[in-house]
This record gives sequence, C-alpha cells and structure tokens, in this order.
Amino acid sequence: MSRKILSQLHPGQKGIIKKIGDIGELKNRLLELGALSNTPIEVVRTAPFGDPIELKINNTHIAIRKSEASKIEVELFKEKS
Amino acid sequence: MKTIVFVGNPNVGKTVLINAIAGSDLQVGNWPGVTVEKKEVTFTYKDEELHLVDLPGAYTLTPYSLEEKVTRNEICSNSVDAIINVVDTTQLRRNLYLTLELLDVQKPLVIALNFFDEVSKRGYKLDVQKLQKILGVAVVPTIASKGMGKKRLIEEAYTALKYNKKPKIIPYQEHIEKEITFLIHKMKDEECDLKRFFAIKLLEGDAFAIQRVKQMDPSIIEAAEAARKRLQKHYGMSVKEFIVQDRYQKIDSILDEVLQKPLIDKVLLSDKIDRIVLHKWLGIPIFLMLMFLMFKLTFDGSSPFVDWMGGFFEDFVGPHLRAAMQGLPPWVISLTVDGLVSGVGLVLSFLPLLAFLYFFMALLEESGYMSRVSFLLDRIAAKIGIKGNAFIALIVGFGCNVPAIYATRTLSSTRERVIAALMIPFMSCSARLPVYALFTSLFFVSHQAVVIFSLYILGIVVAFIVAFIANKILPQHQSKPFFIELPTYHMPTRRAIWISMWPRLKDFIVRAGTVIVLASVILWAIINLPPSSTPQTSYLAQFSKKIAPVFKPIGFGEHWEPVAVLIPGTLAKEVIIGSLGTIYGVESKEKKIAKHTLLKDFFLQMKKLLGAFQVSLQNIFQIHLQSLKTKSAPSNLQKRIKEQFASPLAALSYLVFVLLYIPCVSTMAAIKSELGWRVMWFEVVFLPILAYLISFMVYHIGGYLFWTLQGTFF
Repeated sequence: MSRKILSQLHPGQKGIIKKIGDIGELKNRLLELGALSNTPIEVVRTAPFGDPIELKINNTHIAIRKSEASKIEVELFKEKS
Repeated sequence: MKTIVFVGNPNVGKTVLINAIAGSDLQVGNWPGVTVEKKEVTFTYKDEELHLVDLPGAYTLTPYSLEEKVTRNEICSNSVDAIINVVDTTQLRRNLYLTLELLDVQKPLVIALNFFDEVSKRGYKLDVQKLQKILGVAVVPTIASKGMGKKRLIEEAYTALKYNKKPKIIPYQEHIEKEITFLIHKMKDEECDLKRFFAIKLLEGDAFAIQRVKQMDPSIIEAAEAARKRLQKHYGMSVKEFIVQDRYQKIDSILDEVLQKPLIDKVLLSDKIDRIVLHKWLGIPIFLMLMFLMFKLTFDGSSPFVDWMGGFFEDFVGPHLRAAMQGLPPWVISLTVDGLVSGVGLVLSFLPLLAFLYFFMALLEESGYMSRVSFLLDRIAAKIGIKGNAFIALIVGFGCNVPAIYATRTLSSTRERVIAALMIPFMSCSARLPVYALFTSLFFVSHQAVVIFSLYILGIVVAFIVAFIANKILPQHQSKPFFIELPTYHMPTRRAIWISMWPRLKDFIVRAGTVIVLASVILWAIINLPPSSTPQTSYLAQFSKKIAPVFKPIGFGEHWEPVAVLIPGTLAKEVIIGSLGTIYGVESKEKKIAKHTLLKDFFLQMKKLLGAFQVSLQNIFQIHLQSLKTKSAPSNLQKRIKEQFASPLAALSYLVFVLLYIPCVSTMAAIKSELGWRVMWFEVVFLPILAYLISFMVYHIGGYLFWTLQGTFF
C-alpha cells in the first residue's frame, strides 16, 4: 500500500483519507463534510494556474489550496491495469 | 409574532421557497453589526402573523464563514420559534448532517426536501414516509421554483409551532449519550432552552459553546473538559471526530433504508460542463469570453435606456417643472431643477446599467458559475492576500464601482475586504468611458481603441500594485484557509434571479440615491453661487483658477476649466463632459422650455421609451461590433477642448488623472457604509496623490520617449 500526500496526486487519482494534519479550522470543516478517515477521495482537477485543487468527497465537489492539501495523507487505490 | 427560520446548506433554494410561501418580495437588510444580508418577510397564515427569516446558507453549525456564524448565532438565540430545514434532495448525505445537528437544537422542526423532481431524474428512489418516521419530524417534498409543496410545508410548520412539537431525540453512541445526560444535568438550574445542543457542542470542544456556557457556570466547562478526556481515552480519537463519524454512521444507516440508488451514478451534466469550463487551457479563455459577453450585453442593452432616461429628465421633467414653478424666485427654480431634479435624474440614469449588471451577476451566482471563478483565479488572488472570490467584485467594478464595493461582503475577512475595496476604484467603470471616448476622438483619432484599452490596463496594473503593497503593510492575521464548494450547476429560475437583483437595485436607489442627490445640491451651490455669478465667476471658477497651476507639472494646469470640472466629476465621472460644456459656455445657457402640453410630451417620452426597448433588443441580438460611441458633443466643445490641451500627451495625462483621481461620491458612500470612515478617508486623500504621481510619470516619461523616438527617426 502506498501512502501519499494529497497534493501529490494527479488529477483523476483516487485514494482513501488516512490522516488530516494541522490545517486549523479547515479540519473540522472537512470532517463535517464527510472527509473522515477511510473515506474515498478523488482529485478531480487542478486549477489552470496550478492551484487550488478540486476534490470529490461523497459526491461533493470542493476546492482547497495545495498548501492545505499537503497536510492530508491518503492511501492510493490500486491502479486497475 | 412567531418567527420561523429557514435553514439549509448554501444553494438549496431557500430564498425562492420563502418567496413562494409568502407570495411577496422579501425585505433585505443587514444582520446587526455585520454586513451579511438579512432577508425576511412577514405573512399571515390562518389569522396569525408569521415572521419568516431566511438564514444565510450553512453547511454545519460549526461556522467557517461569516454567514454561517450569523446562522449559528441566530439559531442559538431566543428569537427562533420553529425551524424549516431546507434540504437539497440530490445531496442527502451531506444535507442530513445539518439536519441531525438541527434536531439536537430541540425546537419545532420541519424538513423540506427541495429539488424533489431531481430524485427521479437521477434514477433514485426515496421513501419519504419512512424517512419521516425515522427522523420523527414532518418531511415535505418541495420544488421551490414551481411552488410545489409550499402549502403542506407551511401547514406542517404551523402545526409544529402551534403545539410546540419538539423533535424526538436520535441518540448518539452510548458513552457519548451518557456524558451528554451528565452535562445536561449539570445545567439543570440554568435558564437555557438549548441544553442538549450545548452539551454536545461542549463535548466537541466548540469555542462558542464554551464561551456561552462559561457565562452560566464555569464549573460546567470543567466537567465538560473531564468528560471529553474520558471519551477521548475511550475512543482513541478526538471527540469531535468521533461525533462527526457517529452522525455519518446514523445518516448512512438511514439512507440505507430510505434511498435506492442506481449502481452506477450517471455522469452528471454538471461534471461534463466542468470538464470544459474548468479545463486547464480552456478555463481562463472561457471565463474571459463570458466576462466580455456580459459587459457587451450590459453596455449595448442598457445604453438606449440610459439615453432615454437622460432625455426624459432634460426634455420632459425639467421644462415642465420649470413651467409649473413659474413665479417663484429664479434661484429656487434653479436649485430645484438644476440641483435636485438633475441629481435624481443622474441616479435613475444609472439604473438601466445596474439592472443589467445585477441580472448577469444573479445569473452567474444562481447557476453556480461564481464559485468556479473563485476556483480559476484563486492562484492570482493568493499573491495579494485575497481569495479567488474577490475577483468577482473586481470584475463587477468595470460596470460600476458601487455594487462592486457591496459585493466584497462575501469575502471572509475584513482584511480581504479592505484590500479588495482598495483595488475597486481603479477598475475603470462605465461612467469613465464617455470621457475617454470624447478625448481620444479628439487627440488620438487613429489609435482610439488602443489608448482606451491601455487606460483599462493601467487601472488594473495600479490596482495590483496597490494591493500588493497593502498586503505587505496591513497587519497579518490568521486567516482561514481557502475553501469553497463547487455546487452542481442549476438552471436559474426567473424568480430566483428577480429575488436576487431587485432588492439590490432598490438598495442602490435608496442608499446611493440620497448621497448623489445631496451631492448634486452642494455642487449646484458652488457652481451657481455667489448670487448672479456666471459659470466663469462662480465659487467653483474662483477656486479652480487658484489651484490650476498645481496641475502644470502634469500637463493641464494652463487653463482652469479642465481642473474645475474635476470637482463636479466626483459626482460621476461622466459629468465632466456636461460640466465642460456649461463652463465653456458652449451649451446655451438658455434653458429648454416646454413646447407641448404635459400630456402630449408624456406620450412623446413613452414613445421614445418604446424605441429604447427596440434598440436595446436589436443591440443585444445583433452580432455587430459597435464602434465606440462618442457622445455627440457640440463641435464648439470639441474646439475648446482642443485649444486647452497643449498636446495629445497632456490629454493623455488628463485621462489618466480622470481614471484615478477619486472614487465617485456613491462609491465613497458605499466604502463608508461597508468598511467605515477610515478606509473612505484614506481613499479620498490617497487617490488624488497617486493619480498626480502617475499622471506626472505618464506626462514626463511619455514626453521623453516622444523626443528620443523623434530624435532617432527624424
């Protein structure tokens, strides 16, 4: 299993949330939107200028900056070959 | 009077629902102490007056934005008698989270399942009866845009309110529930309706709850602290996280019972749109194109109405009023007609433009594209200490600075709002365009478009430099990280757009209107006093003659007239042209007199209005590139202007000065009301100095370049 930092995922890659680090009040916000441990998360796309990134958690699309995404650890889904 | 509040996630159609229920327009004001919009309406149901309040959209009762804070505070206040929880049925899982929190508040509650028609469209099956049974409160399917379900909804809410039906408790996990009971018991002597809610929030470690309960009895906080430690040890994770998880487990088990989903979700149209609209390469060009389109339609569509409104006051209201006032002292007539009424005319002449602008803003907001703009541009915004959504306000500024200032309300901190407000006056608004058009048609005949475009760019560049410096100077503070939802696109309904634009228009008339009319009267005084003076000997002329030399270094201090008109120009920069006409005396001082009877003239005006509609529609639907319209200025005016500016460079310097020198009085008033006196006075002092410096640079560097180029080529 490969652990990765959310900000390193490429658009289209999916994983499950393992740990949300110190991102201040945003942590509660993400939790309450359902970003709990072991919840699937997908990086949908990166904004044209490279930041922020669009995430999909339980059918909700949200955007956060890479600086915060770099504090979220995920476990990549195995690539289907 | 009983109060029912409407609570729900953002973009769930609350406002449209309230409007449908009450059947009349909502009143828009502000929540006390903050600049969050408060929408409310009173309406009579079964002989009882009900006060319906639209609380700002909130995802949860742990606020992240100012809007959510207002909502949380309001729910925790004593002024709420019942809650209507509006839920987006297509996003049940996330929406029910707020529902569970609201149930903990233990006030009479009814759920509206809005966008109910979407459920079947997506191939879902929802058992409403069962959901109602599990949640223990009335659940009413609604389609707000069609008014479906509104009767049952208000009936259920009314019943819940009348019998003070508190929702049943949906218990948390055993250990948590035990600690809740313990904390409620500790609060038993307190006067508080929200014991259960506060107990849970205390366990979550919510700062607001801690503060509120501390005022009752500090010992409860200690007890809560101990309880939290116990739970944390027991569960091995933060209590907040555990409670959130517990709520989601409940939601999932509820949804298991009531909702049938197709195995594979259809790819939503919304996702397909985003693939193009937020595309790496296409996203920005599409955004720019939409903005171009918005402004093109705004200007083309509104200009016939603006012209008509001007004519209506000049050719109809003015002359007839003058005739009606015959016999009164001339100065009374002049003050009324030239001061008061022309001020009112100026306010109203902005309305068509603003109506179009607000219409498109509402369209972008209601459809869900606005948050995409934030997403696209956040990177640039981050460099100057603001967030992507600030760009929306800046863009609106190109139409008119006043709504742009109001649009900064949605920004999350005062610091961001100040930075945005500092940038907005540099966005060249539509009132400045006629001045550019007239001057460039005289001095830059073959490069008119280039010069005008450069002025816009100059404004943007200056705005960014100012914001960059402000970001460095203004005290840093811990701002909340950028977060935004990209909601599913919705086809905006006519109702929703109207509800969004009409109150804003009304607001402009009242707020900006009073300022403009007041300023018009003051300006009338300085232009027409001392008594029996001419435009060449008035106070304004006397003053301008004195200060004109100050402007010599930037190219236009040789004559006092161009300096003098800058003062009426603070009213709205387009006023500069008309004032030049008056001061040069090229516009006949002879006032227009009524030629026909009142009625006949009125019909004539109405006919012209009809014509304006026609031209507006033609403009909008014809795809033709309109050449820049110069206001048909009398050739005498053009001649005088040409005489008074020594060179095209001097004229350019003047235009730069006009672009930058001050926000118009309505913008100042908006800045004052949104951000206070300090920011306003800063702008009033800082902008003229900055404008002077930049005009100086343009004039001298431009002159230097001109001479060197000439030296090289000739």
